[in-house]
Amino acid sequence: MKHILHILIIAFGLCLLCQSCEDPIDVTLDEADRLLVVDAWLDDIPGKDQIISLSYSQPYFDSTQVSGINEANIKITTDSGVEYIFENINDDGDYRIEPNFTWIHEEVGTTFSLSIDLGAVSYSAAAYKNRVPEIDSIQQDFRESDAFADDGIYCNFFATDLEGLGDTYWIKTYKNGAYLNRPSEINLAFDAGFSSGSEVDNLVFIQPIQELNNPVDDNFTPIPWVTGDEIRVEIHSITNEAFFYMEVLRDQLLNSSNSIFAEPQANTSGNITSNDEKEVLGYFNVASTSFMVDTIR
Amino acid sequence: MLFVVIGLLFSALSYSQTPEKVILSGYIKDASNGETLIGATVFILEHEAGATSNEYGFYSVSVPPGPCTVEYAYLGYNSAVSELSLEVDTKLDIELSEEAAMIEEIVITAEPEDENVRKVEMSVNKLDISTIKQMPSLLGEVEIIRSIQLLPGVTTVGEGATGFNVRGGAIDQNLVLLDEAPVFNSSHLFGFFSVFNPDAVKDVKLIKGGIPSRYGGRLASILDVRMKEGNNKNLSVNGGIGLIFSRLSIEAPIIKDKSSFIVAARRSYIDILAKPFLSEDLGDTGLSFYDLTLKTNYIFSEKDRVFLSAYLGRDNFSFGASAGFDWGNSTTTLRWNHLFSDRLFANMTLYYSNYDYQISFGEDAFDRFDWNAGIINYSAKPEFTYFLNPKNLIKFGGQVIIYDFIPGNAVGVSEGISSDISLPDKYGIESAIFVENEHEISKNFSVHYGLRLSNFNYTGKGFAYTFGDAPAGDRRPVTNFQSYDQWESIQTYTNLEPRASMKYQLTDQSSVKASYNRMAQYIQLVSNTTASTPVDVWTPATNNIKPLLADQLALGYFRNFKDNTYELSSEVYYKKVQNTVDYIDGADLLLNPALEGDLIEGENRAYGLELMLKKTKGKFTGWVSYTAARTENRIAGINNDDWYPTRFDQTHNLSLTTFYELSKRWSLSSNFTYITGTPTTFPTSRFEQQGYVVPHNANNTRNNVRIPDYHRLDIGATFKGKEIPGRKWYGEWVFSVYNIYSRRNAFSIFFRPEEGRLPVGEPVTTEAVRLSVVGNFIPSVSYNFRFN
Repeated sequence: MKHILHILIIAFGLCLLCQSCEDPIDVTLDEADRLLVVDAWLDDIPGKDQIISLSYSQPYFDSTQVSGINEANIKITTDSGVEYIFENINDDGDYRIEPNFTWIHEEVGTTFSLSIDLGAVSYSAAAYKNRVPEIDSIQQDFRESDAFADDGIYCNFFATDLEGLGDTYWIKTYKNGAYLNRPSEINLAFDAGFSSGSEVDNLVFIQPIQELNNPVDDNFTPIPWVTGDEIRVEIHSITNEAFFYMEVLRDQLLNSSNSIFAEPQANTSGNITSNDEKEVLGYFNVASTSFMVDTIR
Repeated sequence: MLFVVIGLLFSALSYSQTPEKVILSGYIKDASNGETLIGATVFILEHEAGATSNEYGFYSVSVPPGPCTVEYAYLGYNSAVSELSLEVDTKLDIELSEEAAMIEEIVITAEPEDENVRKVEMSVNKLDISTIKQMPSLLGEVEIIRSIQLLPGVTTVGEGATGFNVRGGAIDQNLVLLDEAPVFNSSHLFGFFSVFNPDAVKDVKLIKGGIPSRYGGRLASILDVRMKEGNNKNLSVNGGIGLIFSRLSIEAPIIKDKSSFIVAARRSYIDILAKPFLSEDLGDTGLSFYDLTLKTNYIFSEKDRVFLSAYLGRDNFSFGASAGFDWGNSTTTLRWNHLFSDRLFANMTLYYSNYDYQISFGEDAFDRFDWNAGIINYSAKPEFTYFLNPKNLIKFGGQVIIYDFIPGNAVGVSEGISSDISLPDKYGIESAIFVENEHEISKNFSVHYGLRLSNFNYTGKGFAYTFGDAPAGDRRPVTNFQSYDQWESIQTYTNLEPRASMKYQLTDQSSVKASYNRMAQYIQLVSNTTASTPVDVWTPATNNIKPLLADQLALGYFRNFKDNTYELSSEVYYKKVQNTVDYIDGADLLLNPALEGDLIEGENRAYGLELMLKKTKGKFTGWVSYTAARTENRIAGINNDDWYPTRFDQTHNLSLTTFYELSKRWSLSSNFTYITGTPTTFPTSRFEQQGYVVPHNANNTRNNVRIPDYHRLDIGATFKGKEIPGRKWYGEWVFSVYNIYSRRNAFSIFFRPEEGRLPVGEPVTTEAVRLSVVGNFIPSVSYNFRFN
């Protein structure tokens, strides 16, 4: 759908022969209390530290480095009683467990309970580990230039959504080890399509999803890969609620490029609750993962 | 209320039983081209009785037999006076010729001079097409929708946004009629140009309140656009060449005084002009629009005339061969006027209207995505006008509309594997019956009252979903769905819509008026963006979406000064709307079968003061319009369940439109607008999640701040060609500068992290950015011509 909006925006820009303009301005924002932020997206990729970060929200224009919260106690307990203690080793607000055989072999269907104690307040959340399909292949194609992109090598990944409605995935791509972290590169799938309504079950991920593993530039134009680049594609299973969370998060980040078609500012609504009834930002999800690595030829 | 109306009607009918009256009736036309004149007056001096010609130029008045003097008048035209001796019912068609003075003066209403004070109707604005043509405009193009935005109570969310907002209503609450057929998207190129070709338009009327019961189906306003019938005296060609598009219209008699036609076409060439500004990648990009308007009529006899009008408009946008996007309206209206008697005028309208869009992209047949959606409707609408007596004018009739909603047919093909994610069509039948009477109770007191009974039947074929509960503002889950056959009723709604307006004449030059109307609306445009997009989809009232209901009360004081040189209108209104729809955060509005679960219902209230002072005579004419207004929603789950202003709420809206006749050949014009900034939501905070810097509004408020105020000045000048008797060609040059002092008015303010790929592990700067749709002044020149 974002593709269509993008077409609309280009069309709109053309209407006035590119008369429209954007100027940074100073505005005054309402004041607000700082809120606790929990960043807890965990997975089962072998050899990787699992990290939960704690920090506070800051005023929107405050561009200083976020400082972590160091005095919390964090643990995760599975429904079969296994306990994982996350430790703040570097005093940077990042609580971690090191690569761990039991952790990565926690089965699909396990429920994980997160508990955070910070001073007198305790926070909790639960996550259910969903299933994930394997990646069949990454296809590299040389394409001629067209209205949307220059000529060069572009990749499509192929995987088939698992049978049964309601699987949700976050597909992440890394170029030479660096996560493609633009908001427009956030690739979410509900079954094999974009949204719950589409009901495209048990099919190969639809073409726009396959395509989204190519990096893009400031204007959303895909950048071709060059020979020798390493591409790594990961599929993370996320809960339906996590999918909606990420959808709102992505749409909010992309809203600034929606020109006159922007949606109202919306807040993400996370899954972490506190016993003092205060709002907590952020999300807790535990993903099953599949991945594939390839080198551009 | 029903009984009151019926009682009043009966009293009106019994009044008519007074014997020995004769009826004078006929058509009032323009002498130069045979176009019928809408709203011309007939006045019988001896009996102080009168009538006004209806939408088809027909009038009927009953008087005691005997000699009488009849005056026919239409503003800007020479009056005609007939000395008649009426012994039997008489038909008299009258042709009025334009005043010679018209060449020098601009007349900004097409009404008898004190009509605004004398008529019962209030909250109505008429713009004569010749006035609209004189206004300075964007790129020199005569623009109907942008012109009505200079009237009190009419706003837009911002430059380039589709549609318009009336008295705090959303854009889908306006019924835009082109020769009685609804137009679902009134704009070309988003909101820059309207779909109406000014050369084919005869009359534009905007009704914002006191809406007569013959109109229904939308809450906020009726924009009634009537097309010309075509010159039935001789061939006439009009045209214009502008920077963005050119237009040409041809009108001529087919059979003199019996049948005529008009064909009008426009085509833009913005794509050709835009080419040098585009980067190489976009070199194959095409963006254009066209529209074609056609109307013909045939007078079978004194009693029967038939009109056929059609409109086709399309915007096309293409990206080389790989992607295309086009959208547009098409309408066809067939009308049959029949005179059952000299008192009973009937019109039967049949129309078809369609709005649709198509999007396709992909490399080849193995990798592509095709999508289309739209709305189609068919309607039959019989309407009767009964000229009971000079004191009562009764209209009654009905309407049936059959809707086919096409929420989206979409097929994606990847690597040759096709997946169809289309949604089934939805169907509905809207029907209504109405009766209304314009009743002159005494010389000073007139009432216009009526009733409309409307019904909507949401039918199969399709699925009706049932939703479970969810916390306010969250998506409601589907709990059940049931299948229905074609035309099997899923849900029906019936509403009684009383309407009334009244006028009390204080003096010859002043009156007070009051009106009340209830309106029901059964279809809505699903749109969650600041400006509506062409891909937004219409949806019917369903078992989950209730119809919108509005109650509006308006009071007004009207006063003319100095022999009707100045007209002052002042009105206050209060409007309450039930079942307003908003959307959950992250709502999925397209291709979502469970869309209804993403909608949340609430209420809206709007109130305001509208002032307008018009100078209608002299070398210097124009108007000042000022509106102070508020429009607010209260919807569970939004803004902490408290009232919040809508995105198009504007506290103050001032506009000044002036025309000045410099000489016989030069005329000048200007528009100045000053509008309070519209409200928007700013975040308070930011936080990090997986490396992304996310904005957050910790107070959960909606539309908590306003963007900077908007103001703009446009100027225009027209250089007219010489009118030489006997010469067939007439031309004029129109110069205009839009936004002359190059103000960068904010359309919106948005928030974003620094551009480029975000650094990992380093602080990210965030900024606020003002988006100005027009960042500069825009000069233009166009040439208009006429050939007779």
